[in-house]
Amino acid sequence: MKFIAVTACPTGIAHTYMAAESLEKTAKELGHEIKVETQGAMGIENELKPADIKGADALILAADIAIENAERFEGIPRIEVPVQLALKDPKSIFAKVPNRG
Amino acid sequence: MPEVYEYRFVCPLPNGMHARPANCLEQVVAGFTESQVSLTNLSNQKTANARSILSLVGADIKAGDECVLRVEGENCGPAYREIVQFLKEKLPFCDDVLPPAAFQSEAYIPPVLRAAEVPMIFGCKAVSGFGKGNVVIVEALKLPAGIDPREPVRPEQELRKIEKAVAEHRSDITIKLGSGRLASVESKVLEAHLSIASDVEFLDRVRCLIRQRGICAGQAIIESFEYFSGILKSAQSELIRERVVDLQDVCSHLLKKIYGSAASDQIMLSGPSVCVADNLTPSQFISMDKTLLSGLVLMHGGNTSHTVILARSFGIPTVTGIKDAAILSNGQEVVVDATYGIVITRMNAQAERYYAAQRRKQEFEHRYFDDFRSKPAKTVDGVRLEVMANVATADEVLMAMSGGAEGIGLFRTEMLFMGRDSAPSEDEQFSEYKKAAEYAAGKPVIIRTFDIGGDKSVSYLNLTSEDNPFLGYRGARVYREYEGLLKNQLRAILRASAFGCLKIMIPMVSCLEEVTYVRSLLDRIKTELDVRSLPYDKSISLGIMVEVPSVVFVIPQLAGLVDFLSIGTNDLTQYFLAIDRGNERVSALYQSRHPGLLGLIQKIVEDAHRHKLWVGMCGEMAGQVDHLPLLLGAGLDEVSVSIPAVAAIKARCAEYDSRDCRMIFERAVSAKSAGQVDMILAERQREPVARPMIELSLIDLDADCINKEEAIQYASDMLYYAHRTEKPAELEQDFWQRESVYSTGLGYGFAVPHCKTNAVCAHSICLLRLSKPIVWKSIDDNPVDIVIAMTIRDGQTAGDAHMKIFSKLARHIMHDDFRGMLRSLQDRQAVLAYLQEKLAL
Repeated sequence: MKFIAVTACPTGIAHTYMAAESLEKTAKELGHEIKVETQGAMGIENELKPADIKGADALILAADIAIENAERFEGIPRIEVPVQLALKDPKSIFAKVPNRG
Repeated sequence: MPEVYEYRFVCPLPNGMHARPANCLEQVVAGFTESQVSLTNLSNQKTANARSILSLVGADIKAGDECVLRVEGENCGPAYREIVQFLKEKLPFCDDVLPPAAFQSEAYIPPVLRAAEVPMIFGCKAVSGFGKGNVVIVEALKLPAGIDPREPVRPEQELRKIEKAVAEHRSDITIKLGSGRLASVESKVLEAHLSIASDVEFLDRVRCLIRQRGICAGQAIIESFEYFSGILKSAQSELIRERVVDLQDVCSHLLKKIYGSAASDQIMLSGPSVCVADNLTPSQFISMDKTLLSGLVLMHGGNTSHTVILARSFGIPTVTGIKDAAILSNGQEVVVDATYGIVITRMNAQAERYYAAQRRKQEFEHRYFDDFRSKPAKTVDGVRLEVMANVATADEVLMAMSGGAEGIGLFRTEMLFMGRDSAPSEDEQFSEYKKAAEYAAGKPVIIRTFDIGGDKSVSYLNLTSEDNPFLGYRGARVYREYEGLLKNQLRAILRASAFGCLKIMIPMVSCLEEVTYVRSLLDRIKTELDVRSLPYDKSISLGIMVEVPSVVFVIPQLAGLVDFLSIGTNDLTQYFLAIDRGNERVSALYQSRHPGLLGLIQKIVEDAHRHKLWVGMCGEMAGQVDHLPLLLGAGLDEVSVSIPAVAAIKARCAEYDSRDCRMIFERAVSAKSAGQVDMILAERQREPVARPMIELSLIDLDADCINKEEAIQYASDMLYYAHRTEKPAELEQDFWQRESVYSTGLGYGFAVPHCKTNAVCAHSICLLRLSKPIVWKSIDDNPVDIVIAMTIRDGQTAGDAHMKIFSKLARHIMHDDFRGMLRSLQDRQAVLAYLQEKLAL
């Protein structure tokens, strides 16, 4: 499957990037494609472009705060989880059934 | 036939039977001298004599308690009826509305100490610092030295002493009450004293002790005090417990009436001690050996009491306003931690570890300051700021000099005048000022002429109490009436000026006439000394305190009259902002960073310099290191601070550029609020400094921490020792604030506490390998053995190249091989090299 993801945590220093790394690593192990946008202390990095969003099967939102530019993802099926789950049990995230976006 | 009547009732008073309603009841009962009237509290079976307020209060009658009134005697029917009528109709309205309970905010306790779960009592921070020692309770009442309580006495003689003392004391109070010059609060207090001084139970007990045990009058008073204060202290109502203070006051007055003011003030200490007192007089404080005094715990005494000012000067950790001090007993080992306003009543191993860590930081700081003590204070761009000390005794001058002071910016002389029956003689003052001049060894000592009146009164001056003492008869205003006293002091200072560099400063000046008056007096004394060919400094400087806003606007006119100005910020702030800072309801508005006040300071300094006047600052504002950019920015020539603050101010001075400070000050003056000034100060507190994000000193491969609290403190302290933070305790709080969102224990035995903070000067990474794993409440519930603490200097972080390193580190931590290497690498050097490689540093 082709996933897109956004990670964001309260201070934007550690968990945003740890979660991103974890999601990328796990997706690879499970044979999925993924692009993860981080919204941390440095702002938006690895930004998800309209082309990325258009071709995605599902969006993973691993965020503990409201994310920026959420309107981009309207209509995309989504899996919303706390950031910590991406560290604790990332595989379970990919096993979830996405909600209608 | 004696008659007996009983009447049952329920106490209708919301605050119980405290002094005021007891007083009303006692007055009704007093009208019927033939009957015995008692009141029994059925809830605790305590019976009180209704003729004694102390006894009534001591029965601890609370709202809703069932009570029995018993009236006994020949023909006591009318008495019974009148008292019952009073109980039914008037007693419910005898109570005053209570003042709102003082807001007791939950004190902040550092997490390590909180985790140690030691018992503690709370008060207010007066002089920060901490110290451990054995409790020495300073008895409120003492017999004068030389009076042995066991010596046999002639009871008749002792009884006469009591009657005389009571009569005199009562007449003193009555005269004061009749003077019509008292504030209503003061009248109420005196009325309470009068009722105690007339209390039958109290006086009976005193007389009884003298007759039956043959003890002296003083001992009988002290024992009666102990008896009744014991009863009052055990009461449940705070209002009643507080009456102990009144009782103590009355008893100490009686002792003074009997023995004069010879009562000994000496307090002997043996071994490290924590002195616990209701109130401590300055002379009691001075009598103690300061090398043995680890801390002070005062039930009363605000921030500005003389004892607290002295304690600050000697750096004695002091907590005031402790309500539960009664639980402390002599000899008990306690820790006074005035940084947080607490007294720890029983230490344990964990708390000991906390204080050991604090002590290490203290010693480190002391060594760091050593470098600055002996050098003049200078900013980065070479601008000088004289850093002097505030003292109240000549002995402190010596301490100030070894503490690095470049002189004495304020020698308060009130101490010489207070707590005695007559003014100090010229010779006594001369020897004190001479000693100060000699100790200062050529450095300037600014002696402030006596500032008596206001809250500082002395018995031998006829200064009656006033409704508004701070706006009243005090400072320079009393000089004409007490010209003899002032002349003595000026002559003593002039004579002492031959032995060093003394200067004279006049307090509380509000108009030019006050200055011309002192100036002419000074000239007359000089001529007098010339005639007697006594040596003195002919060019001695005369200056004034700038405390009253009106003098700020006559600085040009002052130019020919004075040589220097010193801004007394405590009073200036109070007068300029119209805030009585002792008044809890407005004290929050007492802001020394009010932009208006800063503008006023700007005007003072500019006008003074335009007229070639040297200008310093000697109030509390001068001693707060966080204010230093404002003071440097204002262009002050000098600050005079408490002795322990001297080295800290000097060290901090060396970190600033005066041109930056000037800009900060300009912005602060035009800020909209004190809060905005705080923000300006916070953002410019210290510029971010270019430092590597990690270095050897930030790596510890055998850190000894027993819990998460200690680990976070350990990391904060490491950053302190590496000179990356000056406020490790604040940094710790920032870590915990993040931790409270959710734990940073991310599993695999790793924890990554982090925060964005103003408390560090540079982005930093600390790595701790713990000697024993600890609980962190991690995602996987496993204990943690590696802690990587990340601190980001708050500011422009978006787009910051350094921020990439943090995200890179965070990503690496998710990989087994990276974690494995951090666990297995042999030494710090290898860990550093590995991190540098991985993070491309």
